[in-house]
Amino acid sequence: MSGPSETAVRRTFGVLFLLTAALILCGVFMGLPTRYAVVDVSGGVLGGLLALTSVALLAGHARGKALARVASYVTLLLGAIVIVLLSSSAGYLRGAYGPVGQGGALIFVFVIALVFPYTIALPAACLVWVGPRSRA
Amino acid sequence: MCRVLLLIAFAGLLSFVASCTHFSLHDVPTAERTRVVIAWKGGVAVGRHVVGSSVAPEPVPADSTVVTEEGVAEAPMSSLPGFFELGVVPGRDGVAVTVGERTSVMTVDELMSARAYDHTQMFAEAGLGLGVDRAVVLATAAKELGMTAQEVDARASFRRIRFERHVPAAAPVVPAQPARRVTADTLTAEDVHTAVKDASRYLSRNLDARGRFRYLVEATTDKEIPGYSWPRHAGATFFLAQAAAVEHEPIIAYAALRAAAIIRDERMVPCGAHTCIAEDNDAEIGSAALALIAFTEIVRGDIDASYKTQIKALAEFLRSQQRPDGEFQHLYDRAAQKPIDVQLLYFSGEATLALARAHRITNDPRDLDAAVRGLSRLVGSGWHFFGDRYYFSEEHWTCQALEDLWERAPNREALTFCKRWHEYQRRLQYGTNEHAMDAEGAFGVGNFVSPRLTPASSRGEAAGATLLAVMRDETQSGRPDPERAALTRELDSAIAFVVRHQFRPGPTHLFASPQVMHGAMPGSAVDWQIRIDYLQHAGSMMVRWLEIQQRKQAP
Repeated sequence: MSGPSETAVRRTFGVLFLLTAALILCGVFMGLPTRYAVVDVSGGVLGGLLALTSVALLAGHARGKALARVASYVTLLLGAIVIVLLSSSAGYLRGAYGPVGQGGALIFVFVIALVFPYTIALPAACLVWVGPRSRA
Repeated sequence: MCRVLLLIAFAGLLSFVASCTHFSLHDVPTAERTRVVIAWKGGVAVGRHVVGSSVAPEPVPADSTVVTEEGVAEAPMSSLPGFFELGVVPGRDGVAVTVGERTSVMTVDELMSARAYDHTQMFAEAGLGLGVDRAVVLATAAKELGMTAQEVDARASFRRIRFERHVPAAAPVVPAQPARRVTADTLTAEDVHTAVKDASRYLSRNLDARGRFRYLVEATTDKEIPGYSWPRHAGATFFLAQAAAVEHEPIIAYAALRAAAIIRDERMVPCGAHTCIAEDNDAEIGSAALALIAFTEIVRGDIDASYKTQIKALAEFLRSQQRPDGEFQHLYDRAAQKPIDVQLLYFSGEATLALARAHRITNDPRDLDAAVRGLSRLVGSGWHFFGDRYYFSEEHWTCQALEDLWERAPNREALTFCKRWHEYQRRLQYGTNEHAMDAEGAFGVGNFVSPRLTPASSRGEAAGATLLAVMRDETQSGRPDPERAALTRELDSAIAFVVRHQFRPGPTHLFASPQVMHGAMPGSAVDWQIRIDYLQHAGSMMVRWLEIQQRKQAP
């Protein structure tokens, strides 16, 4: 049974997931200058999953928490992959091109700082809230 | 929590609407407009009068150009550092400084003459100047109001004024040439031919007896700013040779030869077993590559076939600097007689294009092989990482190398790479009314940065090259390429932007020597320093465009 504070937390995560979904979808499909299937499909699926989770949480659906757990794991996984790949790209540019690549490396570090709150901090916080999956 | 979020959102919205309303320009009724009449002679204000002020107008000196600037709209400005500097549109807004009952006005022409636009450094990047220079505004107002700059800073309120300039017909202003506005839709071959002629004549005129260019010149004073770049010298020589071939003017061909001769006679030195271009111990391949590009154009255009010897020598040097993976080592230590394996901006693309062009003259298969491997590295393994679809280096030389090699060694990966690069660049290209300044066709990332000519030119050069490769591919494959129309539009828009900003003749009343500046390409609408590579990139882009028109008309 969920008390008033539980409801408030659920709604807060619902709003935050909705904002994150909007950010990811706008970022990928409006912000990125060119189309690239790997990023477009991943961003589309993740944005859709977060939006769906958000609706479930805001509506107080029985499976809302379970969906939030799945969405958080997927977000964490994709976020971790993106951050590792961006870090390696920044390292490659700095290492292979020296001063020429330094600007690109800085941009990639900046992007890591931008995606971290949405793809690492938010899902991690959500997983703390939903707790471990109960074993039947 | 939801209420708090809503409250924050509402406060943000309210703050946005209030600031937007307060700082927006509002039209000033004709009778209340600020009018400043200034007499200019040799680029210097020799008389000034604010209409309606208590000070009687001074007599206008003979031979001066009288220009009236009329404030058609106004808005308050924040006095906070940072906000103040970014509070004006460079080249369109002047500043009014009011202390008590007295007001000092700096018009657009006065700010241009004082070089006060785009000279404020606000970020770590020293090359990026923005907005208006606060110190110049405060110092000028202090002088007029009879107080110190610190007093003005402490007591003044500021307004920006959108000025319109009224000039006598005898003193035309940018963009007075031609009479209609040149856009991608109205651009003609005559516009481009005239622009090429004027740009090449400017370079020819600014070449001294030794064959050295006036490298960097301040248009308002006609004074040279110290410094020289031999890669850019070679690039300007290349454009002169191109222009000579297109416009058939002997004086331009002669200038190309003089500029080339100084490279050949004074800059070609031994680099171990090879010959390179250097001023001191470390030779960089950029000078050798661009000199090679210039020499090949001189031979190709039948200006002087004797440069074949130097072409062979420089191509050998470039090949000796190439690594097995196709990348080039950009420096050579002459004392130690060994390459230094570092990579600098542009040089790999320049070396690849140089070798591709050299092969046409030398017919040496090693030159072609080196160029092919250089291009493969540039578009393949050299630029392969997560995020390579969204972050690019400067690739205008790469795409020119693609085009040059296409008939001898077509590289589809390179064509795809260049199309992708242009798709990315087009997202940064301004359309109509997307910037507070005249930026249609330029490339940039927002209103705070003045659109510059050279990025438009270099991207235009590459767009023209990629377009030619696309046209050749279409001919070979028999299939139309959907990218063709977009590339054509990108190129036409970039050329129109550059043509509109070329000094033909420019705001002559603000120049010390208007005749010397005719045909020059400034850095931007508000940066009137003229560097030789600004003309090279613009000119080479336009020559490429003329080649495309010729190809389109061919049966």
